[in-house]
Amino acid sequence: MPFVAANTPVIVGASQFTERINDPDYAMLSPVAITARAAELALADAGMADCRAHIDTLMTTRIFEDSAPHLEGPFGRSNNFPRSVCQRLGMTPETAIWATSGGDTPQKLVTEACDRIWQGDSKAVLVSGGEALSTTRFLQKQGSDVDWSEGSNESVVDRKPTLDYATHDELMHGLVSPPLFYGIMENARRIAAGVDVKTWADQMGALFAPFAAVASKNPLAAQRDRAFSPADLVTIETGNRRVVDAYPQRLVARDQVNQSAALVVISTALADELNIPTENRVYLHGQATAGELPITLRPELGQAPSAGLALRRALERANCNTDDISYFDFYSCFPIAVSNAIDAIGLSGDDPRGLTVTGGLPFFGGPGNSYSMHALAEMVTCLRVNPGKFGLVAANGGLLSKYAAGIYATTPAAYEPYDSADLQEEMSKQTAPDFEKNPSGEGRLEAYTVAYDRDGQPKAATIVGRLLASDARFIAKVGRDAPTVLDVFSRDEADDRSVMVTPSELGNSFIFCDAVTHE
Amino acid sequence: MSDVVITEVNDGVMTITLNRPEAKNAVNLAMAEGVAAAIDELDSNDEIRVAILTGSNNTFCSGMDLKAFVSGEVPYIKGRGFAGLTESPPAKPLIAAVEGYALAGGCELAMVCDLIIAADTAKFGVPEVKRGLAAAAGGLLRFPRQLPYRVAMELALTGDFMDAGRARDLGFINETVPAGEAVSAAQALAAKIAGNGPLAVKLSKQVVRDSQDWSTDEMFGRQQDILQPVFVSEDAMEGAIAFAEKRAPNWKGR
Repeated sequence: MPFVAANTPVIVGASQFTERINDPDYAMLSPVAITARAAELALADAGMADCRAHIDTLMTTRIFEDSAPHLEGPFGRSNNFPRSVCQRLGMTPETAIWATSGGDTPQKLVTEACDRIWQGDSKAVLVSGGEALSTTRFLQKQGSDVDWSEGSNESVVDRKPTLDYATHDELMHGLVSPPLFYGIMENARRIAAGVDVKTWADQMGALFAPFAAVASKNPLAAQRDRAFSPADLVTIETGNRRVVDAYPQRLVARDQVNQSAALVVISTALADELNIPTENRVYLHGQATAGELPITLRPELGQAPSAGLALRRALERANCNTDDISYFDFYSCFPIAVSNAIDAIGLSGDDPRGLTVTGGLPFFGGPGNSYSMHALAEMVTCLRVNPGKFGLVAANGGLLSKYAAGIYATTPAAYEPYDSADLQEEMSKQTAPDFEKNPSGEGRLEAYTVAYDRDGQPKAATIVGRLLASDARFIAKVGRDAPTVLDVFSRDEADDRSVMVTPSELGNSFIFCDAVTHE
Repeated sequence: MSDVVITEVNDGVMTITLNRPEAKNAVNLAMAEGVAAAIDELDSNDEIRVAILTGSNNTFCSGMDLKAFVSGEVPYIKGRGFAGLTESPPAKPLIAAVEGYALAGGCELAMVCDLIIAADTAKFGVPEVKRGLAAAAGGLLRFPRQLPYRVAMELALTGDFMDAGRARDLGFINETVPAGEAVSAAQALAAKIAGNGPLAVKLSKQVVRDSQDWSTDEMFGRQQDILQPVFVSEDAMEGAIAFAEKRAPNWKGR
């Protein structure tokens, strides 16, 4: 075995926990409690349950309800999530870090843990995350008055939620939830490719069916009972309502889960001292990150080049290419999160190696910002039984806003911190069309999405387009009071139609120029 | 808090009432301490968005309590100024609701407020010069910033009163209302402010106030330093989502 420096970081513990409402020992754990459960299991997996005092830093992802002002939960919360987890574990580490929001944060926390260890700021770091949104809904239905509020005034590095994923204009024009933003991006990608709605839906089904197949064999997955065919995924039927245009329920991240995961990252010196077997040590070979502006400020609405940049650079840092990777886990909250990433590095959706180790967010489960902690834990377990093989975990945050990729193997490797600043520099050189806040006149569509109610009726549509006169980009919306406009989307006839857009105090609205009513 | 200053909070609006009716609400040390405490509560309590300063018994304030002053009591608070307020205005908006007289220190108290609503019978003025004194609690400093130069000089040098109608025509006050209705009109104005984003309101006030001291070259940069947090605040996100969802915003003040 090649020599690695004593400050080389190694992942020595990994664990996941799931509880379901029908489980015989269902404990209705709070987000703090379920996160602590996975952390406890990860310490045991590392063989460090009885020497947890070595942990000098505990990091957690940010739960959904701490991630935006309108997401506050019904049962109270911890004012200091990482320290509340510490209390459950009977630990008082010197440093507690509470990540910002974003699905990219698990990989970024692991990178930060590795950097701290390499720099000598830490010897042992516990990285964890979890959600209990299924339990929250279950207790709400029961009319429970459970109190999950708790607090600690011990020190914490609180990175606060990320609140600048979207522009004010995007939010005001009805893009108020992730499916709507992703719907805009998915349709933009489809329209730019010149593909019709039906064909694109079939492609999305084909992309995600292998994810469902992996989940069906994963005992920790939310969706285990059934392997879906591509057609099953995109056929609108009972249990698969249309959420937004272009996504039926089965293609959308499933956040009604109770899942947590944790990793233990320590220095090689400590691993040697604790006699942790070398075959249980997993190394971070390369990682990179890149971020985007809000979607209407990007050059192309259906492209987020940050993912490709981060993936290629992570591979480069690990001295390998996609052929050298045996296992992948691509963040899969919606199909475009996967297609945007794999197209950029030349992988196809039917790659025999598979694109997930867990089953992905719609089928394994999408526990908010901590999904990729599961991907990382699953990857570590997988690499330990396949020594020398390489695995790639790719994590996406926000609205294709932030991407983080890491490459792992049991093969020892020297560690070298890398901050991806040059990638961000490259991203900042992009130029986007001018954005017109008060658009007036004829325009063409770049993208659209439609919001549906629970009965499958369209309730509002948001478009992003370009003014014919100036080529400036604009956003506009219509609601239920424009049924003939909504009908055009329902009939999948919007792609080639031009629109007339008008600004007003209530926001920009539009009609189709050539709107012939079909009543 | 002593009963010479009465405070009350309703729907995010704090009303601070100067309450020494036997002395036309003249300011003694107890009142100065009471005002300072009320202002501390205003700025530290997230539930309060805006305050109204008024006086009891149909008069605003007749200035310093001279009886207390000759007995050696000075109604100044160190660092806060006359009546605990004139040198240190609050970060949140303050509205004066003036009935009757706002004279000498009383006029200076009204002038430190961001908005003034007055009964049409109200009178403003700094008569100090008539007795060989000068309006040192902000009157001489704020007149030229709040009134045209000649009018500022006229009031400062003659010590004459200005009635509410003239004050309104000069933009010295926002609105005149029939006698007895100043507080209710101030409450209507306060309710509008209390419905807006608290962080946006507070920092907007700061820019309007502080920018009077900024040069043309630096003003946009300094404004950016103050307003930057507004644009990435939870309230900015909530304001936009509430607009899209056609509901009233649920402000967090951050």
